[in-house]
Amino acid sequence: MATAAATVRTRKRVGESSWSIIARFFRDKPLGAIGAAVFLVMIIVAIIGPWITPYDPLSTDVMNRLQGPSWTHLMGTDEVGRDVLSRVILGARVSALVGIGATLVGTTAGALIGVISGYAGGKVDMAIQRIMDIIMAFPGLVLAIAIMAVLGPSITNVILAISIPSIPRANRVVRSIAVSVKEFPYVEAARAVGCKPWRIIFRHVVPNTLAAYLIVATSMLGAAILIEASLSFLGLGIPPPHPSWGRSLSEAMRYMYKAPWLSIFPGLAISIIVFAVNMFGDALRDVWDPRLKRL
Amino acid sequence: MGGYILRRLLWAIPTLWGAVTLIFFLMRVLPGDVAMVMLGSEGAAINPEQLNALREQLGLNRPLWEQYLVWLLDFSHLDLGKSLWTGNPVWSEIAIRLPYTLTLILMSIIISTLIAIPTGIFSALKQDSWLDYGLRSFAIAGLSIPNFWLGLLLLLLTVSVFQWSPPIEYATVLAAPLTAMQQLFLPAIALGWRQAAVSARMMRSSMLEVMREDYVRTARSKGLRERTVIIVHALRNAILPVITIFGTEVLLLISGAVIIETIFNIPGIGRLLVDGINHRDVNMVQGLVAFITIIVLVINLLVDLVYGWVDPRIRYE
Repeated sequence: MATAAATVRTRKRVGESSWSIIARFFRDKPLGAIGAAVFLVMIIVAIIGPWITPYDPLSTDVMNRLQGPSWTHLMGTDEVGRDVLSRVILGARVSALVGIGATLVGTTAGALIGVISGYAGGKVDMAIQRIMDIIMAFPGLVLAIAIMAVLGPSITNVILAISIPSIPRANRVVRSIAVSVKEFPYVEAARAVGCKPWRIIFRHVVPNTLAAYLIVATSMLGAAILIEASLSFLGLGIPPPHPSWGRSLSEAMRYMYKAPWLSIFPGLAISIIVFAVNMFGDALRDVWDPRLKRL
Repeated sequence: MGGYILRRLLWAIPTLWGAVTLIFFLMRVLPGDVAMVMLGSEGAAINPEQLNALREQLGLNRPLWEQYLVWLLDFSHLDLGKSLWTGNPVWSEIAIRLPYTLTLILMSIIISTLIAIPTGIFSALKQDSWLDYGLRSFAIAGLSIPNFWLGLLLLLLTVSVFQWSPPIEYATVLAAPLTAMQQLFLPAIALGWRQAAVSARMMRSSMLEVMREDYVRTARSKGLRERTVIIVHALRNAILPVITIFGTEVLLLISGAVIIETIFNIPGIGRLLVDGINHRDVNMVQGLVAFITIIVLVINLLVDLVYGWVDPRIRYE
């Protein structure tokens, strides 16, 4: 009941400004709002990262290798004396770029294919959904690993490798909406007056799927950040010397007992961001469409 | 039920064909050349005749369509070919590694189910209490903490507190079941943590819905004990969505196993896949991915059958 009441309160009222919607979102969904704020901070850090790092994240200082956290190096130094805090700050750039990039590419491609599949129906729908079944038969990370092995390590390839396994999810959700929207009277009316299918899809069907698109996108963002970290952890992600949280953890394994701080801070950064994004995604879903709770 | 099983089996065949075809063509555009890697470094000067002979021997000189047809024919006889790196049949490599991965995944499923079901039920029954908030925080934390980080933290904890480090050699469940389960207990927790969180969340929301249904009210009004109402009437329906997500969760467990095996040095099929990619062993990678796909399809089929058995409405749709 509480959720339903919050949903009604948070939905847009007539004549209401965007600022008051945001203010109400903060009041009704405080955890989701905190999640959004943390993610926003991450994006800002990702953008201004190179200007706020206390040290050059790439410069080595062998004399000060494996130093524990101190006032000089708040998160300590790694095996070649690089400042861990500076590398964690710059790692946010890779996570944000790949996370947002892969989510946008995967969700947009999935949603577009879903709209076409749902609207076209018949054999086209059948063929597209069977292709989606095939992609869904692969475990996401296994398919991403195989794609990375094919394409080789680079930021663009990581984005592609993460986005392809995520296409079916957006596809299924958006398709189901398109299937019901195409039966709406105004869509039938548009067909009756001779509107072309593309015009009907983009003018009438797509706007109805936008809420679901955004909910799926935010729910997939956390997973995309985790897969990027996993690929980097396995040495298949962003190539060195760019700092990446996943690769930092993989490198930290060799010094785990001697320098445990190397394993703690990058992992903490990943967990906090994914937690924040999940909270934001959950809140957004509750506000826009509580029926999608089981996504 | 027989017709339902047959329909589900027939649906799985084109999906399997599509999956193995996709992985075959994906692997054939792999940059780098296994023949060059086998003869030495890719960058170093290599005798072209020797290279050609090896490519011929490995069948890499044949046209792509011919390679595909041979692969498909072999696959239909359940022959996954030979590893280009070790020369052993892919099946025998999988057979050696599979018990480790299966034990790991099965243990993580058991651990996560034992955690998730009671957690979800208690959380729903004590909705909006401190217990509920605590259990929900655990569930969301489980979704956010990457399993490889949890694995590293568990290793760090056990080494510093209990002076336990992962074994150099793992026992198989067939040779020494107790030792194998003991050795894989920690990795199974790291792997199953996320699934426990997802299932607990699902169990909670599903239980909350079911407990408000009319038949639960009727069961209570008949004077049944609360425990009977929950276990006999509510649980059977509330568990349906948890069964539905089980198939998806197994996909994530297989993905997770690749990483957990790397951290804990477990010689399972996940490690075999990563090694296969590092060695550009096309046969091994495509054989393994095809094998994993079969496992996934079989599990999805079983999940559908269990779902059809638990909820008879599904069979008749």
